[in-house]
Amino acid sequence: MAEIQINSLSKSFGKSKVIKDISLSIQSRSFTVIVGPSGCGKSTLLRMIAGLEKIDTGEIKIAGKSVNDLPPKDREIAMVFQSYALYPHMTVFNNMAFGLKLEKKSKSEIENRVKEAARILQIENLLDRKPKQLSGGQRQRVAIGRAITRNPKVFLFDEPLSNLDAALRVATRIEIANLHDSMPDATMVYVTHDQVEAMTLANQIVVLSEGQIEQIGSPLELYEEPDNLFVAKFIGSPAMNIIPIEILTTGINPVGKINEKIKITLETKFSSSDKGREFHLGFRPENLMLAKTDKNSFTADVSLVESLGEYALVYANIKGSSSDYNIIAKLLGTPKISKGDQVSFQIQKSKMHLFDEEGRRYINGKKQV
Amino acid sequence: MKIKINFSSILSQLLLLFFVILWITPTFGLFISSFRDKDQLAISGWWTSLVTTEVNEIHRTKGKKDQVEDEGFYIIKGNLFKKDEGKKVLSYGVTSKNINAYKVGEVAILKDKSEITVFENGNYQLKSKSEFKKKKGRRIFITATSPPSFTLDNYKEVLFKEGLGQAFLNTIAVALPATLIPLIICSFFSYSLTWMNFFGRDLLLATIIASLVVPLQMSLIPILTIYNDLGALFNVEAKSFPGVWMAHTGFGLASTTFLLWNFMKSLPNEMLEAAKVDGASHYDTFVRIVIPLSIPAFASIFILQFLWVWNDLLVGLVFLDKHPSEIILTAKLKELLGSRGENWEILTTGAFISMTVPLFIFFSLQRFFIRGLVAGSVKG
Ligand SMILES: Nc1ncnc2c1ncn2[C@@H]1O[C@H](COP(=O)(O)OP(=O)(O)OP(=O)(O)O)[C@@H](O)[C@H]1O
Ligand SMILES: [Mg+2]
Repeated sequence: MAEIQINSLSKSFGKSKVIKDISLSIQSRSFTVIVGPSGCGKSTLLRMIAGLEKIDTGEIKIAGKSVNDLPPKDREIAMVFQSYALYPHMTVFNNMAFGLKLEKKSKSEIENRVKEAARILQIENLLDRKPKQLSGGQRQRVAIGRAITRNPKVFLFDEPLSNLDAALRVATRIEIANLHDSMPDATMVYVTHDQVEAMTLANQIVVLSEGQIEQIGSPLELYEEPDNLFVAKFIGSPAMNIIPIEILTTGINPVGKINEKIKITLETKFSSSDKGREFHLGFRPENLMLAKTDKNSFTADVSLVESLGEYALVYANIKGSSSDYNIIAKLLGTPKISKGDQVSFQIQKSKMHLFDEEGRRYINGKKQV
Repeated sequence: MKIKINFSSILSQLLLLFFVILWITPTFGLFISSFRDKDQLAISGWWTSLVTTEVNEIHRTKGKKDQVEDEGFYIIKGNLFKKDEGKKVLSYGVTSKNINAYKVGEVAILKDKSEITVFENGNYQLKSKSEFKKKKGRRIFITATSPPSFTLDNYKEVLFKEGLGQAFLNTIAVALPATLIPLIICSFFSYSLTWMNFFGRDLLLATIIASLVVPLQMSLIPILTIYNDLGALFNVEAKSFPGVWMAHTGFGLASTTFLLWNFMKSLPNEMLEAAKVDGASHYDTFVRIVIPLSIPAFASIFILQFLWVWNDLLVGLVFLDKHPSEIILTAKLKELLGSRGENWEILTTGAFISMTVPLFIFFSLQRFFIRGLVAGSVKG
C-alpha cells in the first residue's frame, strides 16, 4: 500500500525552472509511466521522489507520509538507473545483497532474498560473476534484481531499457510487465521517452513537457482524447496529422475550410462566435482512408509511399491557402498508390480532433481544462 | 599494394628506445660498479668488468725474511696476487721500462745473477746463490688477463661501516608515514569535495588548486620557525620524525587531493546514488565503494608521493638532525660525497642502494595502473 501524492512541486537548477508546480497522484499498485521529450524534467521528478534531488517547494507523500525530509533509504523505494549503476568491484550476488547487508539482515535471509530475486529474473547462474562479465541485458536484470531484493513499496525506473538493443528492449519490457504482475503490492513509476513502452506498460501515463504536466490518463485516453496539441503530437506513431482549419459555418453541420477547394464538415458543436476562428484539425494516420464518396473528402499529392506489407504509410501534400501541409496516412494492406498520384482521402467518422488557437482540445464549444 | 610506412610511429618508437637506453645505461653501470672490486673500479670503466680483459699490474715479492735455504740456493716463493681472483699472468718484466720482457714461465736472470720465474697462476720463485739482502722484495711488472669478478664487499662496507644501512631504515621511517598519512587524509578529503555538499566547497577546491603553484621552499623556514617555537614550548626536539612527516604531509596535501579528486570525480554519479538509495551512508559509500574502486589511483599517487619523499633532500635536511639515528639516505649520500668523494665504490653502492626501493615500488605496483576496474559499472 503505497500511493504517492505530489503537491505543487517545484524545482529549479540555478535560474532554470525544471519542475513547475506539478501536482500528481499515483495510486497504490499502479504502473505509472512518465513520458516526455528529452530534457523535460522526467528524471528530475523521479529523483525527487527518490530523494536524490532536494525539493524546492511543494510536498511529496508516500503512503500518506510526507517524505520531503527523509533520505532515500527511509522512503521504502528502490530505483533502477538508466546506466545500471552496478558496483563494478562486487559480484552479482554482492551487488544484490548490498542494501540488505547495510540493513544488517541475517546471512540466511540475505541469501534467501537474493536467490528469490535471481530466480524471478533468471539470473541464478550469474551470481558469482562481476558486472563486466555480463551483457547489457544481464546487467539491467541485475540492476532490477538489486531493487527487488530490498522489497520496496515503490519501484522507480529511469529509462531502464534505453541502453538495450531493440530486440532485448522488447523482451525486457515484457519481463518488467510480468514483474509488475508478480509483485502486485508494489507501486511502479517508470520514466521513458519511448511511447511504445509507455503505452504497453502503463495503467496511467503522465505526459510531461518543460516541467509541466500536459495530461494524465490511461494509455487509451491519451490516444483517443488528447487534451492538447502537445499530447496529440507526442502520443502515437506516426504522429497525428495536424492542419489549420478556419470555421466557415457553425450550427448543425459546421464546415471548416482548409483551403479554397477543401471544405470539411466537422463533428464538433461550435458557438456562433467561433465563426472565422482558426482551429487545428487533428486526425491520426490510421484514421485516414481512401475516399469512397466525394462527400467530405479531400485530395492530396502523394510524395512517398512506404509499403510494409501489413500496412503502407502514404506521405502526401495538401495545398493550403498559405503553405503546404504534409500528412501521413496509414492504410491497411498494399494500396495501389504510387508517388505523384493524386489521391482522395476521407477522415473516419468521429475520429477528428479539434484544438483551439492555444492548442487545447475543443469540444462542444468549450475549452478543455 | 603499397606498404605504408608510418614515420611518426617509427619515430616515436625510436624516441622511446632512445630514452630507454638513456635511462638504462647509467643505471646498469651503477649496478655493475657497485659490485666491483674497489681497486678495479678506480682504474677502469664498468663495461670492462663484464669481459675478460688484460691488465697491467705492479707487484712486489716478499723480502729477505721469507727466504729459505735449499741445497745451496736461497729461495723466495710466493704468489703475486693477494687473493684468488682467477687472474692469469701472460708476461712479466722486472723493470718499468720493459714490463713485457719475459713470457710467463720464462726464467729472468737479473743483474745480481739471481733468477726469477713467474707462473701463470701468479706463483713466483726467486732463486739466488747468495743470500737476499734487501728487506723489501723486488718489483715485478705483470700483464695478466682478468676475468669478470664481482664482490659484495662494497655493500658490506657501505651498509654497516659507513652507516648507510641506518640511513636506509631512517628513510623508510620517514617515507612510509609521509606517504600514507597524506593518502589517508586526502582520500577522505577528496571524497567530501566530490560527493558531499557543504558551504564553501568550491572555494576550498579553488584554494587547493591555487596552492599547487606555491613552491615549498617558500614555506620551509616559516614552518621550521613554528616547529622551533612549538618545540621550545613543549620542551621537545624541534627536529623529529613526526615533524618531517607533518611537513611532507603538508607539502603533498594539495597535489594528492587534486589527483584523487580528479579520479573520484570520474566515478559514475549514478553508482553512488544507487548506493545512497540502497541505504549507504557517506561512510559506507566511501569505505565499500569508493575506496575499492580508487585503488589504481591510490597506487599511482602512492608511487608518486613515495618517490618524491624518498628522493627528497631539502625537507629532510631542514627538518631532521644529522646524527646517525635521523639522517636520511639522500643527506647521508651527500655527506659521503663530501667526505669520501674519491671512494667510488662507496658512492656507486650508496647510490644503488638508494635506488633499490624506488625501483621495487615502481615495478611491484605497476600492475595497479591498469585501468578498466570501473568497466562494467555503466553502459558500454
Ligand atoms: N544537476 C543539474 N544541474 C543543472 N541542471 C540540471 C541538472 N539536472 C538536470 N538539469 C537540467 O534540468 C532539465 C531536466 O533534466 P532531466 O534530466 O530531468 O531531463 P529528462 O526529462 O530526464 O531528459 P532525458 O529524457 O534526456 O533523460 C534539463 O534541462 C537539464 O539540463
Ligand atoms: Mg532522464
